[in-house]
Amino acid sequence: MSRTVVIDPVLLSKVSKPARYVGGEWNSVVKNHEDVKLTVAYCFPDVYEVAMSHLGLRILYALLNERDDVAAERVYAPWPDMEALMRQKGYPLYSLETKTPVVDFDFVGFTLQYEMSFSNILNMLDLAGIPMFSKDRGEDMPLVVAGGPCAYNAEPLADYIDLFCLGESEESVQLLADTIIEWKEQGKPGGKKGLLKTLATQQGNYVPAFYTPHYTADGAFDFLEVTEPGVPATIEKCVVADEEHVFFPTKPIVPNIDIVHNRAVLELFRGCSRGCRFCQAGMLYRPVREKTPEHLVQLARQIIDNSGYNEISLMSLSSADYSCLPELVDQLLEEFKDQKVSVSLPSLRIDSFSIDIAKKVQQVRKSGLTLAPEAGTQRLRDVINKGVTEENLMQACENAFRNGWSTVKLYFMMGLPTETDEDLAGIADLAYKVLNLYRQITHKNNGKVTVSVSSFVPKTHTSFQWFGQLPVAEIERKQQYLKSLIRDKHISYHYHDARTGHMEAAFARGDRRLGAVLYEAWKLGCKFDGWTELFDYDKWLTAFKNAGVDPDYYAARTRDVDEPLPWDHLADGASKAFLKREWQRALQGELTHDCRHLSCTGCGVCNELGVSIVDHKEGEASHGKTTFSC
Amino acid sequence: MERLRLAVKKDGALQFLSHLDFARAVRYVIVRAHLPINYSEGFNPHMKLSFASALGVGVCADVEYLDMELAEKIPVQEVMERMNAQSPDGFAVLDGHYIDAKAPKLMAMANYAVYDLFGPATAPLDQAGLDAVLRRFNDDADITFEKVSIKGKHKAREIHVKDHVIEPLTGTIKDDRITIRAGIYQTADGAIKPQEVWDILVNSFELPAVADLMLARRRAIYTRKDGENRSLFAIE
Repeated sequence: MSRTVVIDPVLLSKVSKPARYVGGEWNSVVKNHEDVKLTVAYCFPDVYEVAMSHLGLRILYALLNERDDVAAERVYAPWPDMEALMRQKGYPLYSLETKTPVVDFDFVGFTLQYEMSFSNILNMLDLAGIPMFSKDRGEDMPLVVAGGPCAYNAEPLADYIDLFCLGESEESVQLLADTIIEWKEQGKPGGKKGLLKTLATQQGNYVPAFYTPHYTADGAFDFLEVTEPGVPATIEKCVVADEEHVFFPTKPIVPNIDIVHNRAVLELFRGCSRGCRFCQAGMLYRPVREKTPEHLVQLARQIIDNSGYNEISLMSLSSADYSCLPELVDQLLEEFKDQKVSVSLPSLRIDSFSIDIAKKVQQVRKSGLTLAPEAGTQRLRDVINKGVTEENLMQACENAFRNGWSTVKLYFMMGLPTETDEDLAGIADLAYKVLNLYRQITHKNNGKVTVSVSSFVPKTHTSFQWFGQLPVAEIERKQQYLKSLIRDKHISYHYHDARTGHMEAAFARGDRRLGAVLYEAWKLGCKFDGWTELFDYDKWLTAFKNAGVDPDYYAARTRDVDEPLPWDHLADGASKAFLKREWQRALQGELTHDCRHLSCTGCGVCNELGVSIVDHKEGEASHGKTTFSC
Repeated sequence: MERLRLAVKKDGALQFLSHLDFARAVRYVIVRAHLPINYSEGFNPHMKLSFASALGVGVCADVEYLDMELAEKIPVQEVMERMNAQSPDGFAVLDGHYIDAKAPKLMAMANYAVYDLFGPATAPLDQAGLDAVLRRFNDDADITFEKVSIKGKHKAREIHVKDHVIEPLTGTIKDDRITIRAGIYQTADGAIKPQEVWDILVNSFELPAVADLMLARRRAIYTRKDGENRSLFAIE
């Protein structure tokens, strides 16, 4: 029998934004649990407005709800005021669709988008009344599953999650659902462990309970022992070879309140092979696979008709690299010309071509322009393999200023390998050059340049995975140094809290011993750590101390390229030899080209996973790429 | 240009929307219904759509009115069917009439609203007790209330409650839940909010309830002239 959580609306009216907690949105799918064979609670460990903006869970939600035998529902983290109400009144965490307690679902799936959301996962399990530690959950408890980019370093969460799913799930989630349904129908042979044993042999699936880490006498990670016969030593990601025909939702849930990205979303392609050496997404989602513009226009028409949105965002890791972008933009503008639907490009390449496209799509309203040079000097941009020059940037800005833009936002990182104060001075220098260019072109003094600098967090599966993050004090010195160089009221300078980056770095490359830190942090009340106003650095340091773990062993230590890494068994298809080579090239300031247009650079993903690059403009002559003409 | 006036409702999942969120939700319905609505000119075109009132977070409405400008005259029945087929939980089009292009704006016409204020009793209260509270309020000709305007640099303004609450309050109690019916008249000086009426009853007339534990449901909204409430569809 399914239970429901009924919250008195008078009490709900006391919390901020009660609409976060009531569901009822257009295109949300409500099914009777009695009519399905599997119930899935998709959980995003952040507040509604953030969670609802995430495309990945929307895809899986719509995909599973296409099946008559599955009900997939949404669960988001309640803001602390709502959490207090729930704890006070004894309301358990519940789903938005049917208000069913999360503990009553068969399968509870978390998405791991950023490390600073981990404390919310523990808190959500606790609010749901589900024992936090995997080992404490009995046969009557839901299967707790997690996926998303942070699953590639699953170890800090290994004590809490029954099953991690690596890679793109559009195909594998069907097998996952079929496997669980079959297991249930057969009377759950072998119990939950029996199910996990079956799942552990399927591609992309990692069951941490079947592996035991070993450490050397001096406490270094040594190796991971496979303790369950028949499960693989290395878990390889799932990848969708045919991006053109893969499921994409055309009935997006339309939120009743405003959310972070409140617009229709079109995914142009998956993957990015520009090879920026700091970028984890660029490694995890290889290879590049495009959809055709014809298919994208059809999808856009259905999405707008089904949602009522008046803006459509062209999303990808690097949308301006879409080979058929000009054709696509023309076709979209033609399709929606009578409907006041605007098209937006969230990420721009730094070149004049990108500005031409931006000009086209922003015919009505000129918002600010955002460009990401990432580093202040050519030397450092070469180290990180960001293949842009100052000339590219100046040409892009000149084109923009000549076409009416007056606001430019420049994104940089701080604390990159080999960085010196000279590189930081280069950031200030670029900002001044862009501002002066504006004055020169327009003869006006109303230009505005925003410089936004984040502190670099080294991530697994990148060529910077061995690099030790700079100490908080050094980052803060650099932040102040750069601040001292910017003295123009038309340039505004923003930087991120170095202390959040420090914690993120510890978890990003942590091992299983960080599970205890997470538990201590949860006990101290850490939650919503991605929110500046709720992040409490001192509590986190106390948590590390209580667990007897040194955060700098993980965050600040430069690793030997030959030492075993706690995430070596979680494979995105790229070889470690490739990353080592890239790390060496970085230190020598050597560029590596984009394999999408030129020869293969040998990361190994295509061969390893049996997939190929799909770029609709590259000819057949090029290295066995799958190509079509637009 | 065809000007269409619709009566709609706001409740259920939409109860907790602010006015801006509610207006956005209605715009989505209009796009999904493929209505030929007109847009303003200029850099940032917006729909020619206006509401009778700005309903706050937590305020339901059995009826709210909106005006829209259509490029062609589509039968009202068809507009209603098309919109209702595309409406989320908590929204529906109840009625509609094409009106004269020069008819007064809804905001200018609507000046009398009837609300039910609803909240839990914090102490034992029977009907006689509630009636006594309301009688004291109704009999007091000179109730004033300090309204602090956030926009006007926190300048306080004295409001004479009986300028706005011009008919006696009535109420019922059932299962320890209080329901009070209040009509609120908007004058040239503005109006009083339903929440403020509740606050005054709690703070000055010993209504046993908590000030911020209240939900309001608007039962009706009218244009009031010469002591008579008339429908917003009735244009002279």
